[in-house]
Amino acid sequence: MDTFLTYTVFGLSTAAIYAVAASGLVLTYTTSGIFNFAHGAIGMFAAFVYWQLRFQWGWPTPVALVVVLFVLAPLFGAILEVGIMRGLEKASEAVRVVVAVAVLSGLVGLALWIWPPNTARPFSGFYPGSKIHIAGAAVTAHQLISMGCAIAVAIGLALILRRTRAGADMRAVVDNRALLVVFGGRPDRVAALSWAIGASLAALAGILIAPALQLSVLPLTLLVVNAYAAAIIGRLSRLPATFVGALIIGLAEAYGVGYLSSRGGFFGGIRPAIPVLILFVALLALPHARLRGQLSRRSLDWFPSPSMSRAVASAGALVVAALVLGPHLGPANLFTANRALALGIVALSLVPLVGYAGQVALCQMSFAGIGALAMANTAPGGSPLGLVAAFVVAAVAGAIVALPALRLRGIYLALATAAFAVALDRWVFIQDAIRLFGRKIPLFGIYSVNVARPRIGGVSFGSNRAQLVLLAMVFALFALLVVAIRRSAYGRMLLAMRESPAACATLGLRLTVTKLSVFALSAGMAGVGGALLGGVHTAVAADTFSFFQTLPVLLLAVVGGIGTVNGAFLGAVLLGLFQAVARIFPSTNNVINVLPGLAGVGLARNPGGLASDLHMAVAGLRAGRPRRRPAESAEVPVEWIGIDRAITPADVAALDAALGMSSAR
Amino acid sequence: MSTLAAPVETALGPILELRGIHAGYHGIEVVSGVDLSVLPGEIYALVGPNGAGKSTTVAVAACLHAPTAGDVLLGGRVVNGARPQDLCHLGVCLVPEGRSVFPNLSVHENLWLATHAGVALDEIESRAYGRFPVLGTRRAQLAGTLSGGEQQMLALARAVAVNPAVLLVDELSMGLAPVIIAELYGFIREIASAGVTVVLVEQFARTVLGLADRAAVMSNGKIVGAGRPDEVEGVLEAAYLGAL
Repeated sequence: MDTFLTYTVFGLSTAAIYAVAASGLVLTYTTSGIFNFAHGAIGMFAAFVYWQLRFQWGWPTPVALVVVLFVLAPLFGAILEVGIMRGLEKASEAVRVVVAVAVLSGLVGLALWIWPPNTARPFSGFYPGSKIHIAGAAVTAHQLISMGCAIAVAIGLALILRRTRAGADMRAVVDNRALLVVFGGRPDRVAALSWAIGASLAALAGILIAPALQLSVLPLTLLVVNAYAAAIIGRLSRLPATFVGALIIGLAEAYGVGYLSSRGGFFGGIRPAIPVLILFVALLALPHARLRGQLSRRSLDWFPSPSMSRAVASAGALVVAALVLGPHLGPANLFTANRALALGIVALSLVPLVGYAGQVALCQMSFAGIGALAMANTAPGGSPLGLVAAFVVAAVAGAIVALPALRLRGIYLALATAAFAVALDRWVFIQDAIRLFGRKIPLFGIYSVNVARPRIGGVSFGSNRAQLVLLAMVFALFALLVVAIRRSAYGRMLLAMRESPAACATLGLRLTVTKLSVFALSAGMAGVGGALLGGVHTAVAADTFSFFQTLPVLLLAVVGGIGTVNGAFLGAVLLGLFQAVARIFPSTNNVINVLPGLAGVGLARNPGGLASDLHMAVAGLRAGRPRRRPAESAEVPVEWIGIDRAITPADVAALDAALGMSSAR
Repeated sequence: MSTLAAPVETALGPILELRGIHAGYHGIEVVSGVDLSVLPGEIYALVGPNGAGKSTTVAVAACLHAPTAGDVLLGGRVVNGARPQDLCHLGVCLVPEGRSVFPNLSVHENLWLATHAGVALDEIESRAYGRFPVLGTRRAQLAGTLSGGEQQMLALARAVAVNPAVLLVDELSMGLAPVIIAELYGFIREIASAGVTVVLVEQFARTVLGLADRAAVMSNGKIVGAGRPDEVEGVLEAAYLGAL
């Protein structure tokens, strides 16, 4: 009984922290429509800043707390909204997700730069050592404070949202942003305020959880995945249900620690994955109020349809370039190029799925990992059948993930796929083996797995140079496939599904088949990319294919331009360049970690990606003058383009007089 | 604080004027050279078939949409570049197309948002519930759960609450029963008689022409006829049947 109580107290205190984090997430999502994937990273960063102030520089606790929670974090949140997120109003869901992911990876890079890992950073909770006993269970002061914070946040948010006009404004922005403007409200201020509050809550959660996780960058950042589940149980809009969700997750996790950890076997390792499994189940089980609303969002994206002859020429050029360049590259550059091309294949697999079909998936590297495992297990000698197996197994896995996710769109799909990826990271990939259909299939375990380099038709692609040619060939083939898809009826179906699933359904298109097939195809391509990546490394461990590894690939693919094959290639080139620079100038390593984030943040200004910019520039050169996309105006525009000057009080008085109104302003 | 006064002397000229407005979306022009002048205190109807550019025209007038060319004048002064919020504070209020309420906010909270223009909440509520008692009985109900007619009542009550000098109403009658439309038009007439200038945009022309002092007919982004209702009646058929 005592242990039960102890675990309950432990669960309640983590639940409290999840509730604080999740309510910040819900607040920012409802008022801006942007799911802040960087929420955990903000909390992580705030915890580090707090550590710096409190423990490194020895500031008094209250001063450090006030500075972090009420000055720095809200300021950061507001700047984030004003500087980055505000530009995303018209952007597609993929770009929204990617920009938030970019902020996440930028913050992670920055934190690793400022506070290098592998240094012990003692981080004690509030009033260390002091505890009280309730019904035989010890409750530490830190746990009590955590619970108190959650209650205070709950009451405070309820008061703000229900009892102040700023709160009514926040909820009005969600309903109809343009209408609020018509009535003189300032949606931009409302959004900045809610992001400020959201960032402050993230910071509070980060500081409260840090003592339990020992101030390290990635676990703190990923912690928010647990809070995602609570937010989803609150359907991303209801704070009370969010708190209930946090309770469920906190307690389930605590009881998992208490009663599951001693067991062995496949399901013995399930404990770290509990929150993401709850997230997955919650996503599938709960109805989604906002889904319908998203149908009305229109975004203009760029999906050129190149001619087949041109695509063949480009694909051929790539292979020839690989043949010509290969002998001139040193081993290190060859490795970088090979790795970038293999990841480029994974990025290419995102084009039909995220680009054409508009399905934002965050588990592409997991499929790549499955492909690498399939290659390792079926073709230890490098038989090309291994690549086929990688495609097939990953495609099947893709279909299996897509099946429950069929009814999910947008951010919900992104979260479900993130949950899948994290569940594989924390639970499945690190197992030694899995039993399926009576066969024992080895997995990564905690060591690395050898992946053979392919040998096709007696030609060995064992050398690094041959690898480059092989990768270029596979990339070229898949690129042709993607171009062919874009030009086909199937491709038009994908684009149509992206624009309006409802309209597609009324036209008699079978959405289920379309969605499943594009998921399977994309996962299959990623699987081949993973198998080849495994070959490039010759031995790969589970962390090569973790959730975090998906982020830069998606990021750079979208930065390159997710609607085009060229975009995926550009993404790969960027990836390779960043690595090459980091290798040649080791001192720039930290800057390089931040770069993908910065590049992604740049998307907020140009959602079409680099490929569209280059296309416009080239087209402009051809026409003899720089060509720009015409200035676009929104369907429900709130900004006045071409502002002459702001209205002054003198104008108001003059107008009031002209309108025959008594002016007492 | 601005308060409503009697209709302004017509000697002051038009209260709202559009001069040579061109506007469009994504480079496609939907309004091509619209001139419009609305006199103080009148009910002005802007009618025309679907896609004629009416809604875009009023969005331009409310500074919600930027024209590619032309000027918007309020009380004889160019207000190009004003933010829509500022225009609201200056007394121009748009009731956009569709049910323009905040569906997840209660009736009370919907009215609360009208206080941005400076009128106290108590004042707004007493006015709204006085004119539409049914809203008073639904004070705590979410606006999204009201009937279509009640939602439009709420939208109008809230719009009037900001003490507008010019009220722009886009498709008030859309999807409503004739008896409700009659009730709402009665309210529009009351608003106008209190000195507010009203611009009504309607796709179904006949009923609104009975209410308006003057009207303009739009077709394919241009004004094809303007004047007293009986004067524009002649061009209606051609505008709607596509002869223009």
